[in-house]
Amino acid sequence: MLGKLIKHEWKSTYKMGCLMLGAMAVITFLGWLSFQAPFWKSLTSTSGSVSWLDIFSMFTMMIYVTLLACVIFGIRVYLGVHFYRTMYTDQGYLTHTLPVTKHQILVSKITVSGLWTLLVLISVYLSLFILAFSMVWAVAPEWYVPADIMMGIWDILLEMESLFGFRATHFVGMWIAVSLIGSFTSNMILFGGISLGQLASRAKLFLGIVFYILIVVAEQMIVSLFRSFADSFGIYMNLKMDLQFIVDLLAAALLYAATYMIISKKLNLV
Amino acid sequence: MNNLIEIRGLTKAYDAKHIAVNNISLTLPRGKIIGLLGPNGSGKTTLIKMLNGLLTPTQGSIRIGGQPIGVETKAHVAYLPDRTYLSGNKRVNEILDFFCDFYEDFSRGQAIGMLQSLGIDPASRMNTLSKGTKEKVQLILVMSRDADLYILDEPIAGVDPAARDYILRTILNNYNPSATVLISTHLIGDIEQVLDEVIFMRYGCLLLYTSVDNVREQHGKSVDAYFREVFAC
Repeated sequence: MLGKLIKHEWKSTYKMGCLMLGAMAVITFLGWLSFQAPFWKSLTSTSGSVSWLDIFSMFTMMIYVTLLACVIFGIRVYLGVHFYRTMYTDQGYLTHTLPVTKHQILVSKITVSGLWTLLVLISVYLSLFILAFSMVWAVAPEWYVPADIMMGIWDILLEMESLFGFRATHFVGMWIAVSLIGSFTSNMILFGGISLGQLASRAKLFLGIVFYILIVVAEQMIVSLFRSFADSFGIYMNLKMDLQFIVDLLAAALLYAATYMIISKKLNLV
Repeated sequence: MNNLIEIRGLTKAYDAKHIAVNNISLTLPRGKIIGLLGPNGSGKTTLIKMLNGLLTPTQGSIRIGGQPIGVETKAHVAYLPDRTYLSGNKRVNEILDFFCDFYEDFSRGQAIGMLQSLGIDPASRMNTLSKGTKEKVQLILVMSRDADLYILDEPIAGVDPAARDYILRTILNNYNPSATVLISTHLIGDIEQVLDEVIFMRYGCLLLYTSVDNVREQHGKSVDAYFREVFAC
């Protein structure tokens, strides 16, 4: 039954997910287009002059960053609304009368929302890489050797390692882990916040959002508190990723248990 | 085992002041059409929600087919809530796929037949259908199952008299004769002719559980007339 739940959850979210990925492709294209403007080439030439087209390209970059944030925020809002609708509004009457366990319902929702978040995150990283390479190509085409650029980034990380006691491989490993696992835990935290709002007698959705914000703020405070013990920049950077990973996992586990209890014992569809 | 539903000391209190269902004990047999009747706020919907596992009882227990409420009972209970619970973005045939996947007792052929008899295109989206047609689609989904228990919460409310006749015919022609149909409604006059037994509820308490024939013989009145007398304001 879990496979069937995941299949139908995927089917009911794929349109919006694909729309977000399509939007990312368009945004990336716009960003790439902005680097084709003469302004960027003029940065390395001596006869550079600013024209209306240059102003346009700068404006496009600002739009790129804004749209990127909108997509990341948009998928999160969509997944939260979808969870709320299918669990706690009229559609919940169908969800909660299916012959499946509460664990199966939750796992299917976390799996599918996590996969969409991960896909959007990968598309964001991809977009940033494309933009970074486009910028190098636009500003200094003679330096444009992708393998060299990647090696250059790695060299910088290794340099930081020797200077600040920063463990580059550990940092990159944790960054990948946080991106991968965090795509799932972040949605569980969102669903947990929404579910806690159901304990209120009124304004349940509003309180759900408030709970979510409070949980995220509390998480950041805990991470900051422990991070403050770091006595060097390298440890600080490593600790940030480690703590984020651990706190996310713990918060997601606690909120999974809370959500399970709420839909098992405190469900009250109006 | 002829008994289908066994309810023992069932209570649901939302808080200390709001007791929606108060210490109900009831045993309902198989193969009957039972009217769950009572004025607004009498606890009918709360009882139905508990039978479907949508609410957890504060006290007491419910068993359906000898099983406590859970995955097993949900597989054998066909529930029609008093609202549209299907996503407006979905097409009717996508919803049929959904029911086929989750309910082993769902007959796609039967559902398609009923949709065709009403002229409902399975390719149409739910949000393009009228309120009455949505209700008919939901009823078709429920009645296309070969369930042990059909729970219908206000199935004829908000539809025109012709649609009411269709809904009642659909219920009578499609339910499994060894199953029990529990119908909650205010429109007693319209469904009285199909009922075998009635349950009267007031202020969350069980007031009466008897056969329709008993009401007519003992009180010399129709169920509708007797209901009006018992619940007169």
